[in-house]
Amino acid sequence: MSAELPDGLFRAVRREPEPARAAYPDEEGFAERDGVRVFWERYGEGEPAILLMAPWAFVHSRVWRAQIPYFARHHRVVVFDPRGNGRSDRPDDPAAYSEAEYARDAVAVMDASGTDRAVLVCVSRGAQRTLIAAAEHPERVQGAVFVGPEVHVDPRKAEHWLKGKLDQYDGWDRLNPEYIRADYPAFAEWWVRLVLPEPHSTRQIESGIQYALDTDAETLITATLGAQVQEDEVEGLAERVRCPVLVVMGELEQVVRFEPARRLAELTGGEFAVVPRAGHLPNARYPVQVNLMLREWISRVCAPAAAAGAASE
Amino acid sequence: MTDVVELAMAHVRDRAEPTRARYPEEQGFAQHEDGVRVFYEVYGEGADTVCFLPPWPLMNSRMWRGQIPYLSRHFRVIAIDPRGSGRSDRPAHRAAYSRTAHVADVLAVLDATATERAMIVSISPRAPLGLALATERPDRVAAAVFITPQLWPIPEFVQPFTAGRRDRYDGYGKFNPVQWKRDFPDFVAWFTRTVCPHPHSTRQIEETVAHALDGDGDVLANATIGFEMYGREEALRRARDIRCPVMVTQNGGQAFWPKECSGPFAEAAGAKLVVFDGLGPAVAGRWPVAMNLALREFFESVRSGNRVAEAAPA
Repeated sequence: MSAELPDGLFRAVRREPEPARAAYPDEEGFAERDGVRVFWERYGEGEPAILLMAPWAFVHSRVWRAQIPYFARHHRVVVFDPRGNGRSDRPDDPAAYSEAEYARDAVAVMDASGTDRAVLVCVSRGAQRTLIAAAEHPERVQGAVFVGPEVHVDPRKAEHWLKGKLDQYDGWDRLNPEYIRADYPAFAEWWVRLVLPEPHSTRQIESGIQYALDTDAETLITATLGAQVQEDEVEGLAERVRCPVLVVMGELEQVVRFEPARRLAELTGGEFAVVPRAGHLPNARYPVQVNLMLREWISRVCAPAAAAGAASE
Repeated sequence: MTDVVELAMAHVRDRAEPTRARYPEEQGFAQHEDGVRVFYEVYGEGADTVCFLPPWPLMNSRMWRGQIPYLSRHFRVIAIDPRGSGRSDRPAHRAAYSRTAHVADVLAVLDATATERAMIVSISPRAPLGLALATERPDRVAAAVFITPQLWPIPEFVQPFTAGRRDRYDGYGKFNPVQWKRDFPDFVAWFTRTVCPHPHSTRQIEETVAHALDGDGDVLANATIGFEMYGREEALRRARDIRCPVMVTQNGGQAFWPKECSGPFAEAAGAKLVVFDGLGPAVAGRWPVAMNLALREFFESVRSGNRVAEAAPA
C-alpha cells in the first residue's frame, strides 16, 4: 500500500532541475530517423554492452537510474528516451509510435553510439519493441531481459481505453484518454501508485510522477495509440529470437499478466524469475537484487568469451 | 492525508523482523557481576574490530543496520543491545542503568567475543559511555567515534526533563519522564517525527517506531535517569586525556540532540570533526552512505596507523 503518501502528491512534485545523479553520461547525442530525433546517453565501457530500452512514453530513460551507475562500472551502458518523453521528439502522428518504430530507434541508437551488439533490457511495454529488435536483428542482440513485460496488446486494457467519456472514473476506468486528458497529473499519480505497490516506495513514486509530468496528456495518448504486437504475432517473433532470454516478474505485479510473460520465456527457451515482494518495477524498487540477478545472468549466459566463441563458429 | 507515523505505529507492534542485508556470524549474551544479560552480535572477521556501543534504549542495535553490512566487509563488527531494549535484559530499577554498569557490559562483550581492543562508536546521549571507556580502559579502545555526542546536561533538555507533571506536554516538553510513563506512544510519535522529518523516510520511521514501541516509558525513564552524564569541565578534562584517535561527527542539517558539545569536545580531544553538510538529523539512518564513508575512512586511517606503529622499531 502506498498509504504512506498523501493523495494529490502530484501537486507537490516539484518541476525543478533534476536531482543529482550517481553517474553522469560519458557521451550523449541524438539518433534521427524520418525527422524524429531520439535522445541517447552512453555510460562506461566494457563488454557486453547493455542497451536499456526506452519504456512506454509515460516515463523515460531515468527509470533506469538505479541500473546505470552499477552496470556502467562493468559495461558500456546505453539508454535512450522514448519518442514522446524525455529529450526525444514528440511527433503528433500515432503511426510514429508503433512498436516497430521504437525497435528501429533502438537500432539507430546503437548505430549512433557506436554499439555493435548489446544485451537489451526492457520494462513493461518496452517488451514489444525489444522482442521485435531481437527477432529482426539477431546479429546485434546478444541477450534480452524482459522485466514485467507487456508482451502483446492487452485486450482488457484496450477495453478500458475505448470506454469513452464517463461520469466518474474509478480504478481501471482511469486508463481512458478522456480521463487522461481531463486530469493528466491525477492519472499519472494513480498509475504510478499502481505500478509501485511496495511499502517504502515514496522516492520511486515521486520520481515516477515527475517523469510522467515530463510529457503531456496529448503526447501520451498519441504514443499509446501506436501499433502494438498482437497476441498471435508473439510466437512468430519468438521463433526468430536467437539470443538468450530472461523474463523477470514481480510477485506483486498488478499491471501485466503472468501468463504471457511465462509463455514468452517458454517460446524463447528463456529463463523465468520472480522477484519476491516486488511490483511492476522490481528494477526501481529492489535495484540491488535485480542488478545482481542481471549481472549474474549476463556473465553466465552472455559473457564476451561465449559470445566471441559463438560468433566464430 | 494519511499520517506516516501513525500508520507505522498501528502496524509494527507485532511485525516479524525484517530481512537483513547481512546476518551475524555469532550471537550471544554477556554478563558481569550484576547478572543482567546483554545481547551482542558479531559480523565479519579480521584483526580490526569496530564495536557499536549500546545506544540510548529507545533504540536497539538494529539502529546500525545501515552500517553493519558495509563495514563488516572491511572490519569485524560488534553490535550490542543496551540493557533496557532489544534482546538484552530490562532491569526495573534505575541503579542498573549506571554508566559504570554500561562500561562493564561492553567489557563483558569484548571478553565474550575474544576482542582485545576495539574501535568504539557511541551515539548521542550514550557518548559518556564512549568517553568512560576511552579514558578508563585505553588498553581496550583502539579508537573512538562520537556521533552527535551529548556529554553534559544541556538546558534545553534538562528543563523539560525535570519539569515534572504539567498540564500539557508540547514539543520538547514531551522530553519528560512523567509524560513517558503517562503516554509513551505520544512521546514516540513526537520523537519519530522530530528525528525523521525528511521525505522518503518511511523505512526509518517504521524502524524508529518499532524499536521504541518494543520498550516502555518506565524502562526509558530509569535508563535515562540512572545513566550519569559528565559535567562539562569533567568531560573536557577527560577529552584531553584520550590517547587514541578520535572522530566526532555532527549533523550539518537539523538536529534532535543539541550540537553544542561537539565543537568543544572535539577540540579538547584533538579529534577530527566531521560535519555532514546539510544532512541530519539521524545521519546514520537516513544517509548511511555519508556516515559509512566517514566511518570507514577514519577506521582505515587507524588501521594503517597501527600497522605503521607495529612496523616501527621499538
